[in-house]
Amino acid sequence: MSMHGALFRIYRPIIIPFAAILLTADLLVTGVVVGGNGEIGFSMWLVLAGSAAKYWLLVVGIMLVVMQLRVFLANGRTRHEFLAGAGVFGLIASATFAAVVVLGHALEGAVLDAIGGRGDGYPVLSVGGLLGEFGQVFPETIAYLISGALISAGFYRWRPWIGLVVMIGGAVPAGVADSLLGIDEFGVVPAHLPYAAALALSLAATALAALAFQRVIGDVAIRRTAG
Amino acid sequence: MIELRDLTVRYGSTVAVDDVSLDLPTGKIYGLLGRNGSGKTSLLSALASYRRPTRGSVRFDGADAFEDPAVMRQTCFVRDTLDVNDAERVRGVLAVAGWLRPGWDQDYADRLLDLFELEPRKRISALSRGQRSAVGAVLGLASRAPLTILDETYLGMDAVARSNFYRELLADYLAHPRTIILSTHLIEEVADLFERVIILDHGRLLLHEETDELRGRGITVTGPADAVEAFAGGHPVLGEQSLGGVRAVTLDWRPEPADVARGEAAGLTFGPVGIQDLFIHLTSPSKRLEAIR
Amino acid sequence: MFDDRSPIYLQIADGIKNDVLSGALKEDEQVMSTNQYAAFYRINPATAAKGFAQLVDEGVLYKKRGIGMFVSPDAREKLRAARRERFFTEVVDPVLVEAKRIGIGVDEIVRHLGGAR
Repeated sequence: MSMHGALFRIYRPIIIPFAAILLTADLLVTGVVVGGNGEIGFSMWLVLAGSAAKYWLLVVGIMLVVMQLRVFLANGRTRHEFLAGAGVFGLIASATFAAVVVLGHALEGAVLDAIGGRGDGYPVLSVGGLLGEFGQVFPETIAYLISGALISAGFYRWRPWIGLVVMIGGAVPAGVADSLLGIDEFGVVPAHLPYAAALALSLAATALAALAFQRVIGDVAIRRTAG
Repeated sequence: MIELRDLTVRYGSTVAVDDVSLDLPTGKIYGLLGRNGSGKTSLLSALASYRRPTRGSVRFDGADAFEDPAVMRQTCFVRDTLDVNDAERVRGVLAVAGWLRPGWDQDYADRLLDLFELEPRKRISALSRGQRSAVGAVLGLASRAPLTILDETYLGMDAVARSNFYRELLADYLAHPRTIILSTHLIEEVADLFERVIILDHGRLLLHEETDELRGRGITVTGPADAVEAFAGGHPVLGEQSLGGVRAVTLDWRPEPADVARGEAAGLTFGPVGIQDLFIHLTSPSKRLEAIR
Repeated sequence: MFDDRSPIYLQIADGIKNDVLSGALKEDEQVMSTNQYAAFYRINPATAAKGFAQLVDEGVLYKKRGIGMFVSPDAREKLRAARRERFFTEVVDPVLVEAKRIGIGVDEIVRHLGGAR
């Protein structure tokens, strides 16, 4: 089995219940608001799934280093093979999560439209806007994944105080993506910069952190766990 | 052929493995012995590319092993702490090995689970020390890796489990010959399985020898002090003890039967030195202690 | 089964020689393969192989390629001759030394042996 295939198999039992919890929470909150007010003026899905996608990928980035690295080494793969497999897995997972955020938003809007529960502030998503929103979310999910990976790699490899220094660098991709590309529950982007520039900056920060991550893990000693 | 060349592993200022060079022809069972802190696990970590050597190299058929996918694919290193996800079930841990290990034999793994009475549904975190070791044994054996390294994969196992483990290890080795390196403190229990023995002491290579050569390599001589001295003359002394006029020395020497007969005629008695005794004599600091006294 | 006093391969060779001498192993009878022997006695197969190789060298066993190892037709005779030669030097002489040390005369020993007959 390929490396990323194995990673998806490992994460599968976590992803499905996690998605189910998100969906339930969204239905619950939106249902309560619409039931009480007759309408809802923001996208609960963007609040929930939007942040869940980011933070979940941050955690995945951490777990790849802390938990999966040694499992793959112990089963006969090199660090570089692991990094390549984790890269493919990370790209697919980030893209999938971003797509789920966008499609869920579209679906939520359509359902609210159908039941007449869409309030004024609700960010309407046209079919053309789907791609644009994906373009905002995807660079963010991937940035969080890399941030999580680099931050944990620093602590994995070095003593805590060096880890703290690495952590500052590790937080850069997530911070840049958040401030330049993050959208809120009203679908508003803090438009400091034109999209192309924001995207380029965010991707550059992410790529640099990914490179640093690769350098930190490329020849790291595999730690023993206690117990 | 697996070669360690001038291998040094250092943690900060601590030297765990100190300039070890070793040739390990493949297809044999090796026993790696050494006291606590002698550098066994560090040596094995470098050998399995879990850690890049501070200096020197590990070579497989001449090529550097570190981060070499072909070498890594052939290596299975089972540490006493196990490199698995603790929240995972036993079955899940074996499944991951099945996805990633080219030589994995699931039927054999299932038979071993039965043998060690391991419950596949149990989580790793819920296992006893001995059961964890048994999981390590299953991973190590069912992987059928051309280089299988088992680092104290017996901790906490009871006598029955250990005996089953040794029997399975030998049977599977006979059916699927490969290079197996066992590190152990239970020398007497497993020495018969080793073709060769490697002894580390304070990070240095003390000895690498055919196991059978070590049997009967030493001898203890007991008797009147002057007779013992005359007999021992010139041969390396591993240990000695005196009580009144009686002296007992352990010699690193294999005397001929005629020598023994001559000694016996002079009133000396002889005793064997087993591999474990030899190990104790070679690695114990008691000689230094006696010198201080 | 085996002890630590001497190399196991020598102990293996001695054990098989004793079986040949006692007739437990007949001439031209096949002996265990080294792998069977190793699994049975739980020893390293290379050690077992060394013991068998020693017996082949000494002419006690012979190999049939692809089939296995067998007891040589003259093994029992040869072993017996060798042991007989060593019997007096290795068994009787030490008895005489010990007897002399504790003051037992040869006549007494002969009388004792006569009684055992």
